[in-house]
Amino acid sequence: MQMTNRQPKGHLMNKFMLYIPLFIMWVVSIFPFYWMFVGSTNHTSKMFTNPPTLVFGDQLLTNVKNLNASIGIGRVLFNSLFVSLVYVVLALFVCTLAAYALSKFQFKGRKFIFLMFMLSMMIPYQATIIPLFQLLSNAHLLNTYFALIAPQICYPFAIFLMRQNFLSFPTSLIEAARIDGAGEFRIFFKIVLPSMKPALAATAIYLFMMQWNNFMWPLIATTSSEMYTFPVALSSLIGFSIIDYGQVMAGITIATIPIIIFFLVLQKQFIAGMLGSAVK
Amino acid sequence: MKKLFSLVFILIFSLVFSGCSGGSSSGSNKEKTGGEVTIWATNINVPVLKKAAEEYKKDHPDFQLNVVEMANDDIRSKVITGLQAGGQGLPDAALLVDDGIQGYLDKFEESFVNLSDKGFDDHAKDFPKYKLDSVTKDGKIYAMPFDAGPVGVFYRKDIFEKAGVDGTKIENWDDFLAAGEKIKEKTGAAMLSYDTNDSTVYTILLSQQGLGYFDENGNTTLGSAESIKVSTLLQDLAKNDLLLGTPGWNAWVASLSEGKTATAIAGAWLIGTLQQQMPDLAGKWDVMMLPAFENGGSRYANQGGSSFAIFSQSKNIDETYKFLEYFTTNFEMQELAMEGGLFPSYLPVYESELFSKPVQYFNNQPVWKVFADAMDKIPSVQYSENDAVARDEVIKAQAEVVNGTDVKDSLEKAKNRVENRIK
Amino acid sequence: MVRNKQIPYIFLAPALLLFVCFTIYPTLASFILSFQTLQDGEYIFAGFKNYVRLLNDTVFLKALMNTFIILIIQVPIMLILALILANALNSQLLKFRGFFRVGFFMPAVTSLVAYSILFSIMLQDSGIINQFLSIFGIDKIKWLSDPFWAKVSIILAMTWRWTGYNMVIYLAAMQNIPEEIYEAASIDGAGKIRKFFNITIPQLKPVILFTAIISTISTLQLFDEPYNLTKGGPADATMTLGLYIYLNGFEYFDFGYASAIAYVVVIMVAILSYLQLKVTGDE
Repeated sequence: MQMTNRQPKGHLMNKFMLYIPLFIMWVVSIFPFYWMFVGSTNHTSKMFTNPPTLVFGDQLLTNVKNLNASIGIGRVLFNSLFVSLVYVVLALFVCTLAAYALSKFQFKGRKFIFLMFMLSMMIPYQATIIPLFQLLSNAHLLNTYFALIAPQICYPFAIFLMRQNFLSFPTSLIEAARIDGAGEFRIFFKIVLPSMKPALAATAIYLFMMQWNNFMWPLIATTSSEMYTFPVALSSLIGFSIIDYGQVMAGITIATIPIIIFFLVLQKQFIAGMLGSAVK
Repeated sequence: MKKLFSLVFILIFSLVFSGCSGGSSSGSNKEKTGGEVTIWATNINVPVLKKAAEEYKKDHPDFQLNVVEMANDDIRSKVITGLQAGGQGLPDAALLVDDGIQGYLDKFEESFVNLSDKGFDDHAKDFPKYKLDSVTKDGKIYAMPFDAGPVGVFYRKDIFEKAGVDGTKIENWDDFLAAGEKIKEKTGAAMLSYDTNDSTVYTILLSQQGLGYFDENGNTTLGSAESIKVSTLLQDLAKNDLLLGTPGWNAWVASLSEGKTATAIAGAWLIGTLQQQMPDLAGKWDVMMLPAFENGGSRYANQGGSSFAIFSQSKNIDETYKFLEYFTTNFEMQELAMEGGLFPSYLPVYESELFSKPVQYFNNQPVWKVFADAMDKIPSVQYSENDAVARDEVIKAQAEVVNGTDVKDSLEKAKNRVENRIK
Repeated sequence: MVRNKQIPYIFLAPALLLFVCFTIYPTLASFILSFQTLQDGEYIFAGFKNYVRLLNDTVFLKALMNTFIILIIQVPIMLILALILANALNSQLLKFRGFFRVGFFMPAVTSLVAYSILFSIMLQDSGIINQFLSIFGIDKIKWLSDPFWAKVSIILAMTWRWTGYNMVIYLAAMQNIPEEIYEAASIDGAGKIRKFFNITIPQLKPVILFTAIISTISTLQLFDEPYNLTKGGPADATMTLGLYIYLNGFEYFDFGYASAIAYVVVIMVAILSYLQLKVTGDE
């Protein structure tokens, strides 16, 4: 192969043009989070300065202590983690199964069922939240983990996402496995799923984030502070006229860390597909 | 894969199992231990209620208080949800913001316990009339008055002085405008800062004249002479660049802490906000009563404040009633509330030393007393179930006149919109 | 040939069971509610009264128009930006891929409460953004108090928040595209841009369709940003259908009417999604 001498200048220009705009966008993306974190280290009176305060203070521990006194971080953290993690596992399981059926099989009612799922995504939650509340209340299941987790396990957005990804999976491989005598479940778990890891990861992140940040339903479905998840607990910090923003920002920062960790852990899955082909 | 299946089964199992346990304190109405009372309230009230419960327990050892802390907006969302669902999921009592109570009563009267029938009328003389009116329907009391928001004009003494303005000499809105021009010229600060996403200032100015958004017959007051005065005032302020509009609560507080405005019109609760959010401005603020619309006119209004309502589906109505009656009509308890940052509406407690104490933040003036003295002068206003609609239309009208639209036109249009929407 | 005809139904069973219980039932209940109105604390049948009222409701019509304007502008911009970013992060040239990836994703996990406080302070007339613009001699922009700019602010906030999120989805799908295809194209002499348009985009079609539909649905139900930044103002310039539904239910206590609005939204979204599916030839 011929060695071509690339002009160092041109190469550098390319890199420049790539990195600079990316970096600017990175700053814009990160900035509010940074501001928020700074807010958790400062006293609440620094919250409204113009320009925004960007220097770290020394109030972090105080704010966290006060926050704990207000809402009990341990219990809230447990609630959010338990609910979100259990939810993701169950929802991923249920939705992926459904998506597979809807994308790789022909059967009666397929179009109808898919249509039903799609339509249900379009219904604004404000319309259905109260009948759902009544349903759980009648079953005496308000203020339980069941109430927080169960209603959204079948989550059409996730079914839809996994279905679209399944469509890209070559059906020929499935056929070949059938001819070889493999059972349907075997095919699903041993052949199809392993190569869907990036899609599963993306869906898992999607589901985790939705549940972790879910506010309206946990607010309505809980009736005691022991069952509060983070968004609800943080909202209770908002008084009418006196709000300790140091606490609020500290709480939000603590609440954001698990999602970031979840994302960092799962993003390795994205790299998996990069090394060689994702299929075969 | 067997591992995965067992994992999933365990999870489903724990899910179903957790359906049975669910939180250490029972939120459902079924299991109620003897004297346990659940109350929903905002953060600032929680320590006060807890201390009150300790005191009350001394004579009522069976009593247990469970205070669930939540933001005002959340209390409203959950109460509405519960009322809509026929009373399910509601606590024994909740601390409700006054200006929403009539709305609840209009639509869901049977869900609220009639406190007059339980004897609360005996305490009526201990509360200001305007406060009682806001919790009364058809002559019956439905909520126990608790904290109030007597309005004052908070002003930056240092900015006033720099411009050579004496706050104590401002008697009416014309004085206010004149002072504003001087201040703008000498210091560049706006005279008044207000939240453009809300109708707080407008509502205060209307209620200063004794009006709510509707009259007793359900007709809107938008378009009335009083409303014209309010809109004109806002327009005059805007015309001379004396009015600073801020988008939302946070931006409004920011404008106060940055010194962009010389005054802020708010309830007494602003004292707490100032002390906490702007400690470095201590000694620079003072308070005066609202300038009157005409000489001799009312200088008083209320903004904010809440009361305790008891829900009919509570399994513990008597216990709840007795505790809250104790709390809202006991001198020491109300002093406790005051120390906790709330402004009580219980008239007898104004005799307390706490009110004549000098407040360091305000140059050691007894500002609490200033507000206490105003309490029995605040006019009553008419509340209506349609207030929310009127408020939203007022926010639009207010934006229009501030931008120069003719006042009468803007109000006429607002009036029509309101009437169309409530048909 | 599928040996067991029941298989797809078995796969679907858990989802369907939960769906019927927690989605179908509440949906039917609220649909029925849309034909009722509250009178003296009781819900009574009112026929099409709510739906007729909608047609004459100026606020509803404004909300409708605003929502569509925001939709038509914001969704394409965001998705195109997300595609470009995902492609950039997918490129071999780039180091620090993880660094950028996490960074762009941060807005999606940054708390709504936190960033709306920050944005409302920064977007004030005297806020830092205007201060920055004045360095370039640009006049103060009334970000949140002018009807036009308020819409722009909402669009900016939404784009800031969700671009990285869509980028992650595209990136995952791009990583599924076998390297061999790109190599084959290189041998054929295709440059970066050709590869992008002729390989990447077609391979991503199902996922692009997904994000387009999801973004459309989310934007049509848009609530968070208008509620937290502008409360629908100024003068309903940023009133959206989602916000209006919420207000009718939780502020004006008229859940029957709120449900009616919700179902009108459903019908519109359904039509739009159907069109999107048809256009891309999905089955």
